Amino acid sequence: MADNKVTILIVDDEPPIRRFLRNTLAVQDYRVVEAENAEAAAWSVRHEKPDLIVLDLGLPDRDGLELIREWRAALAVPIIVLSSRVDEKTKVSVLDAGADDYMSKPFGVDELMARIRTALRHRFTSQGTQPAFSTGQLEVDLVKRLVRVRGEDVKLSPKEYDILKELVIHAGKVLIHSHLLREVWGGETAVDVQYLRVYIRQIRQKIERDPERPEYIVTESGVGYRLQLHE
Amino acid sequence: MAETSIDTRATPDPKPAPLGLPLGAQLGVPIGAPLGMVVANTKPPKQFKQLVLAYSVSTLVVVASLIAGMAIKQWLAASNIMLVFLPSVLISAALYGFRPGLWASLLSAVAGTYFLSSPSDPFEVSDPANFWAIMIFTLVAAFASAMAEQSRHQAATAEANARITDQMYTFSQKLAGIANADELIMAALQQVHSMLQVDALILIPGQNNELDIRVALPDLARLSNADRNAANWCVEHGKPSGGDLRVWPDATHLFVPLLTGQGIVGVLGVNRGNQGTYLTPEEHKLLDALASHAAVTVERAAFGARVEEARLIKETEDFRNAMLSSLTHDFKTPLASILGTISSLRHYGSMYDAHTQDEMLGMAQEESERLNRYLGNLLDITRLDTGTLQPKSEIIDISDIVGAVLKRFQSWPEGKRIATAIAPELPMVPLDFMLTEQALFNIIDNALKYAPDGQVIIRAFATNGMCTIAIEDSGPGIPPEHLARIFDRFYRVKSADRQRAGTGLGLAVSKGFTEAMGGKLVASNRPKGGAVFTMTFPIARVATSPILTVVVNNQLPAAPKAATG
Repeated sequence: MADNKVTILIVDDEPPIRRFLRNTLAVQDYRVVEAENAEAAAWSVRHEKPDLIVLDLGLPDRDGLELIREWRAALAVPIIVLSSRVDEKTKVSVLDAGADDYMSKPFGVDELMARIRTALRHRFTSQGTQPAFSTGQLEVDLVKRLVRVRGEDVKLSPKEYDILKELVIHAGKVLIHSHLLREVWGGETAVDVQYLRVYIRQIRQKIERDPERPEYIVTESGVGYRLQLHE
Repeated sequence: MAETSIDTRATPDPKPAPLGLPLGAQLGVPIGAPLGMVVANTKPPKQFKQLVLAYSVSTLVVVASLIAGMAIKQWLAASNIMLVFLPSVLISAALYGFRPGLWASLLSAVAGTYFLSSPSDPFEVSDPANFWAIMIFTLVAAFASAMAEQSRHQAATAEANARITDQMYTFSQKLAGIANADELIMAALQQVHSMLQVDALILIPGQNNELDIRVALPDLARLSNADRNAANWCVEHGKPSGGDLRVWPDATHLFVPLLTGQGIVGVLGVNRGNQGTYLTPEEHKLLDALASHAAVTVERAAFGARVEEARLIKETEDFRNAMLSSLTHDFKTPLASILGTISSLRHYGSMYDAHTQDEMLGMAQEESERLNRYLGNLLDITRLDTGTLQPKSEIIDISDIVGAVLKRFQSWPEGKRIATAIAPELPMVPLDFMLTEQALFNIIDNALKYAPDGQVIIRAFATNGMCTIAIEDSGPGIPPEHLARIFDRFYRVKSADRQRAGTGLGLAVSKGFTEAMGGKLVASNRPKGGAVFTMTFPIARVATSPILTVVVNNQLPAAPKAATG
């Protein structure tokens, strides 16, 4: 019976955290596997074939960042990182190493569950690229290159469209600045984050109801941007 | 100010000093003599006596040769008679140098003339061959004197150099053994003082690049203006000044720069009496050698100070990092559990069965208590730091405190592992109940954490006016390299196993509280394995009270009495 359930591996050295995560996930019909250190986690990854990993960065036996790089090289499993460290450098390096998302402790479980669902959706739709995307009142047709907000067509410049497209492809995930710059501007090395900010502001003015309180393109301070999914 | 008149002379080319006659010349010592007499003996009375002695002995040696010559005259050819005098000339030259040697050769020539002359006229040399013999003898004798003098000087030089090398070697060895900056510089100065027989001081640029007297032998509070100007000039130009030199001649001290690879690190000043400082060329050479030694010493002292400064900065930084990571981790982890649990119950509460709900709420409560304990420790540390902690001194029964601590562990699953061994008839001790309880609680909490299996034993006993509470565990013990720092704030022994680390504050609080009450807390490892934390408190004050005087006769270890659960 457990066979068709989605398996989630929780790697955290704090038993209380594992316990509430386990309970919360279990009532939503996920199969939960726990590991209290990197060694146990490595064993579970091999034998339990998890569909998603929730990883605490501060493990007693190994650096979480190393684990992410190792797993990313071999597996396509989404990794959501939990950490009490809040500095931007850690966040960027975690996402750059290949983690799909990052959550600072403490956090509410509803937020974590939303991120887990997003990550799983990307996993099961392989890259999440569907010709027609919609969330809330935003619709993006990646084939016809059409963007509609609240039923009206929006005219975007080619660069603006490229940025939005990248966010749509990874909808719900944080895209770090360097990722967006690389994907949209390619090899142009002179481009910096400042350019990106300007374009993001222009896109927001075209698609957001209130650009100061964006519903779709949200800023992850010092890290990057995320296309917020509305369920 | 008084310096104005002097400042006018602070030009690049200070006026030349009157060329002082070198001391050696005044005393009749040849100026161009080979270097060697490093510490020249310049006291005139002794020098004069030596001269008298030298010429008297030379004369006596020639007279002795004359007498010997008369005695053996009949066996010698007339032309060979001069050979009798040659040893006397060589002896004089070897003992006293060139001039006494020359004196001896001249005397010998006169005496020889007497020998070789005709009996009728004592000073008329009859044979021209004999006249030439006397002439050649005098030349040979003079030359031999010069040679003897030279070798005598070479020997003296070698000896003096050996003595200096020896002194310098001893000096370097002595310096190598000194770590303290002040002692180092003082040792360098003492060396200058004793080797050159001078008053000496070392000046080092302080704030605003003003030269400050770092050390002086004998002690000297401040320099005269002339000396100060000379010293400043010395630092600016990197050349010696004052003393017997032409720059700043009215300075009583002679200043030499202390030069290292880093540049000028200070100035060495020497002074020999108030009339000015005159050094022989050899002494100047020695001064240079000593100055370069002193320079290295001053530099080393400065490096030492810098290393110490860097160490302090690093320690502060390490502490800050440890504190920050502790605050982040130890606040956020329980909060994450609490917030996670509450939000989970709020969103999915209806999906949980009653047991799971209760379990989650229980855990949220535990984590809140953990957070509270951490906050308590943080507050306690703050109280210790700000000095607002005022321990009470109540007469307290140790077993009462132990009971209170055990009660706090009652609800913990680990509480079952605590056993006690309290000696009967334990005397009362003047303590603050709350502080002692907290100190004990933290130590036991730590022991339970780091010794995850086996018993934690609380022993209490009294010996020699001291009351001891020892908390023993049967864990892995404390790695020796951590023993010294285990009471440091935010210091945690990282365990390779999956044991949850503590906050790094508990033991610091325990030690702070124990010491605030006049007690001691030490950590050590038991010979049979495991760690032991030993708190000791004096009971002397109570012993004076008639009611509480207890004869301490119970020897430990007392048998474990009860294991609480």
